[in-house]
Amino acid sequence: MLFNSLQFCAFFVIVTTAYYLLPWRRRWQMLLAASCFFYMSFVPAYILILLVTIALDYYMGLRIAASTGKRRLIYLWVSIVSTCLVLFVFKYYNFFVAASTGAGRLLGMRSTLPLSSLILPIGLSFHTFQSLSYVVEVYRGRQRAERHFGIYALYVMFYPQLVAGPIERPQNLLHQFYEDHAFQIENVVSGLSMMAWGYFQKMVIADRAAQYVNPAYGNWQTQSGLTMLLATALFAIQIYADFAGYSSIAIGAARVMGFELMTNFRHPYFASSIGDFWHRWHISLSTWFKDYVYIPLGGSRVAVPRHYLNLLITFTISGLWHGANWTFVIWGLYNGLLLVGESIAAKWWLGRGRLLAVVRRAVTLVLTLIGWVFFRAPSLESALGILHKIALDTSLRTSEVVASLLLVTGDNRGAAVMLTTLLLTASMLAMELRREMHPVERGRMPSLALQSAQIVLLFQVIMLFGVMRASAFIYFQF
Amino acid sequence: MRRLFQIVAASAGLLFVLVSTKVLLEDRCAPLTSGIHGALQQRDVQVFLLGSSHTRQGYDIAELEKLTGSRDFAVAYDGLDLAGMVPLVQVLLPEWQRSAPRGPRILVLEAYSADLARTPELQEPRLFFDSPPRTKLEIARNYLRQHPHRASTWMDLWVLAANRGMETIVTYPFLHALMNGLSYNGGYEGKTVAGFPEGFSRMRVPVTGETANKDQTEALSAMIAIARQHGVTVLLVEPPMPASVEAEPAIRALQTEFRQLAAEQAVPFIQGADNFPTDDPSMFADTNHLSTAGRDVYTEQFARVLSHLLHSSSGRP
Repeated sequence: MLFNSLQFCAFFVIVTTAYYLLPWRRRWQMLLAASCFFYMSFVPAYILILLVTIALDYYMGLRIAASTGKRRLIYLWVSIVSTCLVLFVFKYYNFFVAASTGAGRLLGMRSTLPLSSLILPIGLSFHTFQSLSYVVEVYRGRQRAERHFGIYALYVMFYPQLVAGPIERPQNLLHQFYEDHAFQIENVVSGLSMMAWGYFQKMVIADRAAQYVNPAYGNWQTQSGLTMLLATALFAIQIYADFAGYSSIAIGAARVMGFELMTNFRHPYFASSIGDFWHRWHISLSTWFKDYVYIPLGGSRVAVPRHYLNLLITFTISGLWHGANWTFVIWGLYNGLLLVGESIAAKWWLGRGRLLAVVRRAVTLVLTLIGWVFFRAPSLESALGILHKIALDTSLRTSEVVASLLLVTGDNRGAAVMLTTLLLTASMLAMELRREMHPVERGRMPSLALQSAQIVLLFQVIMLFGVMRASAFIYFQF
Repeated sequence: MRRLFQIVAASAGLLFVLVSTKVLLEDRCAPLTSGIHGALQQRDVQVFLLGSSHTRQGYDIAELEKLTGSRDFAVAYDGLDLAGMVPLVQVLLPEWQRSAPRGPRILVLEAYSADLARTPELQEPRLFFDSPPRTKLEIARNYLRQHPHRASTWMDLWVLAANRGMETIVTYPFLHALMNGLSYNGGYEGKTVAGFPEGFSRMRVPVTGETANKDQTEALSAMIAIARQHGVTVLLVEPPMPASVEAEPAIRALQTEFRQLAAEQAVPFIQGADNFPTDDPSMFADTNHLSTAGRDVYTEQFARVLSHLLHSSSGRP
């Protein structure tokens, strides 16, 4: 059940109505049942995997809280290893087999490991990380172990953030399930407003950009450098609008019921440096890696070479988290290297000065675009081929410009479709720039009338310009 | 709660107004040199070609006019089948006759054999966008009749009305003139389509069956009746396809069906592949569309048939 489907609209209305109609004590049961139904609408059997990890981490959380000394650490590692094992079996096993076979071939050995035909359960990387964050926080003593199995299951399975985040921390979410959220029109309108913005980003911007990006990247060998440059720029827009759109819908759907989920994006393409970009992009994952990988490795409070190594390790793992493919590993490593470079040149590169700030923003954007080529390309060879094409085969000859514009439909409408997509994207970025320059302070939300008008307006734009075929969100595959 | 109802009512009301306005006025943004809107701007069309992308890619209209001395116009939409052509014939022939009593003399209907077996389908939303409101209504009625038991039918129609073609409206001030310049009387203007690079002899087209679909044959009869009512001669023409496609048993069976239908209705069926180099890969762009070179050869070939018709005293073959 995709967020951008009619089924979800019906599901959302029914669940939200039931939530407010039910007495407070019954709400968690209804939410848990609804979340199970939501998850089972993808592949029903995979809920068993989810239940196993939930049961395991619930039990380990209790054991950690009840134990002292080394036992706590043992329970923590049992939980981490078993949760990661599930992730490995479903997500990384085939990648591991392919990599070990390749390495074995180099050493003159033959691998006999069979390939797995298991399908990756939807949202596995997200809910396993949310589970891990719970046990680590219990181990660190920052979160008391949850005794109510149903509430803990709901913490992992809460449907708005179940399949693609935001990856919540127990301190932020768990206590909210014990709160009695009365119906408040401010929450409902604000949540609906966020959802409308999310749908606008997904259906109007991301899915339109995909109409150009998919054929271009699917057949990159026959495209010109200009087409691939345009496709890469549009992919940057697509992946942002797709994922930020998903996050807005998730946060909005939760807010309608009175829950507050963490912010996941803060206008990342206006970042002033690569470091700043990672403070704005997929914040729930970036902070997860910071809290549970980077800082335990020593973070920046170590010798300089070790600090750089910590950055590279963290970002390489982060790349691998996105997908079991060398393209993601290289993408992660590339971002790690950029951060190391930024740290080395910090004195003059991160200095003050308006011109330098403009240059830094532009360079950050270009470097991010180069990274997206690795993220989107089907293989490393393709990524290098595409970058080669963009660098050496881009021309602004009229015939090439026309051919690039006509890619979407193959006929006269191609130019109209492309121009409309660019106009809509520009309007989204203009809105974001406004919010970047004039951030809305917490507690000082726009008036209800203004938010209502925004919902009405966005609804019109979505209905008139949205791509109505429900397409999956990019981050669902992770 | 009242606030929520206000939001829902305002959204629905505004959307209804916007979509109604779009449906009623959008055809004014359609190109003037192609499609049904372009055709309705014409006053003295003598030869009216109607079909799918095969028709668009099969004829060089300017060359055809030069060779026959007639005024021609092609209306072509991707995947347009016989059932989809009926509303266009219904609106165009009477309109032309009203504005110019001589009206068109010949109606060339594309007889793509693979589509004869197909369940009627609206593949190209531009047809709806370009059509005047009364034709839109007819297209919607046909769609509802053809897909009565599909849950998504109403959703499809909604999307067609509300969502399709918005790009053409938004970019009208910038691109309308450019769009007009890309077509001459419904044919391509300055577009080059290369010949087949490889795998030519293995080409096949998807065919859904070997017998004619009832809706399609009824549509053919209806169009012939309307044409006769307006004194217009009908030609059924199948543009040429690669030899390997022409040789497919299903295609041959459907061509025989077309021939029989034409004989029953006493209209000529012209097989474009006759005397055409169907085994030359440079003549085709893909399994069923001509390349620019193929279009030149076929236009010249078809012009001879058309000239004979136009210049015979009866105007009938």
